[in-house]
Amino acid sequence: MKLLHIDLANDFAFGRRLALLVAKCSRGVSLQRATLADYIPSLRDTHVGAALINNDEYNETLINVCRSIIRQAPHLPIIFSHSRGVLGETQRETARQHGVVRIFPYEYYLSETDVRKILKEVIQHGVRKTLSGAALGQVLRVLSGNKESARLSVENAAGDRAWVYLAQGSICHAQLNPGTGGDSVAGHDVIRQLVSWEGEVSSMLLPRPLFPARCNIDISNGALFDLLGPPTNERGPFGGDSSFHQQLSGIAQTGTFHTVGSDPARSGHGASLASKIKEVLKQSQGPMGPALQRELLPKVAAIGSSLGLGEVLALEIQGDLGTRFHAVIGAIGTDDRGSKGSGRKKNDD
Amino acid sequence: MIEKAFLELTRLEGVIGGVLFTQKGEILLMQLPSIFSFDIVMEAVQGSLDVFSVGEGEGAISHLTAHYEFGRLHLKKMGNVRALLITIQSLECDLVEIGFNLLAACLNDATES
Repeated sequence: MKLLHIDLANDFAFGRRLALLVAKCSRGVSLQRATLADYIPSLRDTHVGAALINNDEYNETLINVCRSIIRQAPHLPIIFSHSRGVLGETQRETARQHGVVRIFPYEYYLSETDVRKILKEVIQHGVRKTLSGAALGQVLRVLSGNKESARLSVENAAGDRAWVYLAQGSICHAQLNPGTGGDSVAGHDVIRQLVSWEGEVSSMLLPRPLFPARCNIDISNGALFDLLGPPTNERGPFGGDSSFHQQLSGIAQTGTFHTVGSDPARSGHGASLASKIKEVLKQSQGPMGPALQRELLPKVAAIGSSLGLGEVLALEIQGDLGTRFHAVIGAIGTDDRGSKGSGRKKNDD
Repeated sequence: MIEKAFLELTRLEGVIGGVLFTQKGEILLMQLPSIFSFDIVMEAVQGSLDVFSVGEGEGAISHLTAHYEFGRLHLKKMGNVRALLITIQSLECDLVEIGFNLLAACLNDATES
């Protein structure tokens, strides 16, 4: 986590001291009397968690800097540090309108303790910046243009919160958690929902490391995958011992978002799956012969095992001549409450 | 055109990803989430070739759909090219069939031209 320190003051000695502090505490970037061109690259650095502007007064120069930051990096919180007594209540309100989310007054000079406190606030609690729904799309685009991955937490006025994961220009995961009793939004519509949110949306750029899996998903296709539960673990949303199979099971359940903390609804999943498969198999002309099934099943099971798709439930084949046969295996067959799978009947291939 | 048809197939809602490969197992096109490492993909491709080899020459398999616990696998033979598609359970098989047919048509055009 870095701070981008922009020093507008004329006191070079003080500015240099602060620059050293920022560098020491956060490996941040410090710019003294910089032009817009100087700090734009830093604004787009995803490791920069906040812009720290230090000045003795809230003047026109500072307002212009704030406007530049908002234009170039609307997601970046701006912290304004100043000596105590500089800003009155009216000016504080003005500063907020210009995108300053945290005003940090200090006694005489900004100490190392102060800088560490600012940094801690940015890292641990996030520094929220209020964005309109229309600007959210811009934020996502700004973040998605970065090379590093990012995780964005967004929250609307109703308390609904979503986590949006971006990686190399694509939204790779999003999870919506309704806050005020609303239903979970189906996965395909989450991003459209986020972008279309009316009113104010507060957002927080989370600097934590991202989960390892990245899916390049076209936002227009709406194919968002609910991978796993809430991203509460420092090691990523999959937890410390997440398995490949867990990841796959989440992907296979595309379109189903579940609320934070809940387990994916599995009850009834087997029954609906059985009926769906049976519906598909109705189109076949008959059961697969046992010999063919014996030869095919291990091979198909091996593919499923390597891809993490789980047990084989049913097979359907179509021959070169257009003939179609099926075999029902295991749970689906027994779910029928009858004989175990028609594929076990004696029949020709 | 082939690439476009393949990408459109893999971008269907409910399609997790797919691989296009030759009958020798050489990968032509691949669109899969990165959790599928290359080793896993090669293993699946080899497994698919094993499936297609079953009953070869005697009413060989041209299309196989396997329903698994966590998804569905479609294997399709289109001339000298093979396709592997991973989808969710609820995706209509007809859509996959249409996608495969379009892809097969593009492959035919490419062969003839």
